[in-house]
Amino acid sequence: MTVETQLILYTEDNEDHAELVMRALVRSNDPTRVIHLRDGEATVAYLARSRAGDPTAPRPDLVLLDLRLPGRDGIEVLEEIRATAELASIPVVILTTSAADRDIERAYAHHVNSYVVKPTDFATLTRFVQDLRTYWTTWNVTAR
Amino acid sequence: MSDSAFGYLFAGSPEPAAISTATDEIIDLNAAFSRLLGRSREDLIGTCLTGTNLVLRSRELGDGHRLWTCPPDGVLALSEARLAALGEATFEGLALTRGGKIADCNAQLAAMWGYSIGEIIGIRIVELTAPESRELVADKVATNSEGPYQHTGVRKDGSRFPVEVRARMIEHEGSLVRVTAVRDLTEHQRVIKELRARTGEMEQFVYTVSHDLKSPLVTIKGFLGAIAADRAAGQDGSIDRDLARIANAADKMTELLDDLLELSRAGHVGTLSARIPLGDVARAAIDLVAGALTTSNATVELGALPSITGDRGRLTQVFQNLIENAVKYMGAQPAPRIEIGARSEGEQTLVFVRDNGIGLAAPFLERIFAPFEKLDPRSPGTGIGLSLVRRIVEFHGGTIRAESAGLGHGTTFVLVLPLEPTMDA
Repeated sequence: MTVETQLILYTEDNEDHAELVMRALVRSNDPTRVIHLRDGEATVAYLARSRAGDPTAPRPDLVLLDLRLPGRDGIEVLEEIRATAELASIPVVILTTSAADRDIERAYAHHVNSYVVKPTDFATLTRFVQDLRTYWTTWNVTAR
Repeated sequence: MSDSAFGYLFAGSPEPAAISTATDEIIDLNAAFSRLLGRSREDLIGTCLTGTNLVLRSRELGDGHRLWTCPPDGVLALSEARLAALGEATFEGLALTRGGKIADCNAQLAAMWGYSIGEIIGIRIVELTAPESRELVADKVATNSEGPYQHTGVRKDGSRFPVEVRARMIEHEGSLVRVTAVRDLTEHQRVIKELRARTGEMEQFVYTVSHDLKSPLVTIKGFLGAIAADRAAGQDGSIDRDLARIANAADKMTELLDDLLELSRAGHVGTLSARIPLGDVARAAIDLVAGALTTSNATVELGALPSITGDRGRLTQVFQNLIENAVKYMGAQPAPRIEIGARSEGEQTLVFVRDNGIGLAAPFLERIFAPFEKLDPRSPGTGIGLSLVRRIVEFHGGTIRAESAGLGHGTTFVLVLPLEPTMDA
């Protein structure tokens, strides 16, 4: 039996932060594939292609979203995912520097699955990325 | 009666009394009279008795002089006149109500509701109260409540206004009347609303700033950790690159903090000078950004601009930022052009800075003025420029907005400034 490689779609406009998350994944010898996109528009476009059955845009098992993005922000992308029947069941986790109540409330009001404030410490970030992968792509079950 | 006996009675009488010449000029008075008028004996001697609000009785003394006395109802007339004068002198509206109607009031109260005193007397209190406040007011009146409480009044023309009311129940002519003091809260509420808006802006600002300062911190701490982890694993392949990222993030923080300071200073504009020709200011700004204009091959057309009262240095900053912004967002425009000019719109004169660059989609027309908000996160700068511009313009009593027909259609920044009528080229 072959284990299907899991796919995380990761949207982050800050190159440094994206590099840190990618490195944390590499360090955990993770077989998970990550597609990194830089803004909300590109994320929505990717998901539209995926929905249309484009083989170069496989359906992600998890969407990891930054909140403050140029153009359409993380909440707008989340809204789009939840409003589209074929995408609505994909788990979405927000990963942001903001710990403001208003952002947390807004994210949950738009049915985010989880909200995480970016850890500043690299060791903590590594552990978070491992936990994230284990939980959302191993334990969590979604409808296809 | 002997003179001395008369004098004794006159001086010691509890009843106010005065002696005047045939032409009503006071030549003597007793202590009670002085007390009644609240003025000293010296003050009153020589003054004329007519013209006071007193109801006086007089009789001839036979020597051409007259004796004036003041019966109790005359004293009452005086105190009422004094009360009326006091009532008119207050800034508050005062009303005397009886049986749910206005029995008497001062001019301020009548004016607050848009009536004359004659019109408002006799009107039922409910008619002066907004429907949603009637139950509250009726309850306060019925229970003789002394307040203070707030409700909404309705003026003669139907307009509404917020009021604060205090009341006292007093004995008057054997019955209980309600004396009500009313304060118009319109201005008070406007100030509160403005303060709330300012606080909201400040909260938004702190929110944005804390995010933007935290972001480079995540980078710095993250890569420090990554370097430590690499060294522990005996790898140092990317240490130089990681150190460069840390240095860049620290520079970014410095830049953010410098810009924050600059933004806070923009609220404290220096010397205001009259008649600053904005044409000169714009030319100075064009000189300051000459390098960027040459590099981007952009041309600037400068039209006739008015003069205004303001801070020359800050106004130069406004034009400099707007021109730099236009250059930065030219996109692939083969013939970059920036137009600066003024046009009239109704009563206002508008100053505009127009470019034929990449333009703005509608959702960004307002967002770009927020501090650290950038259309393209990879473009240079912190995104403070337009917030700074807006702050300076607002300090000058003006407003600024962005207009664009959408992406690819260029952007126009429109400044509405309090102008002086002269135009110069």
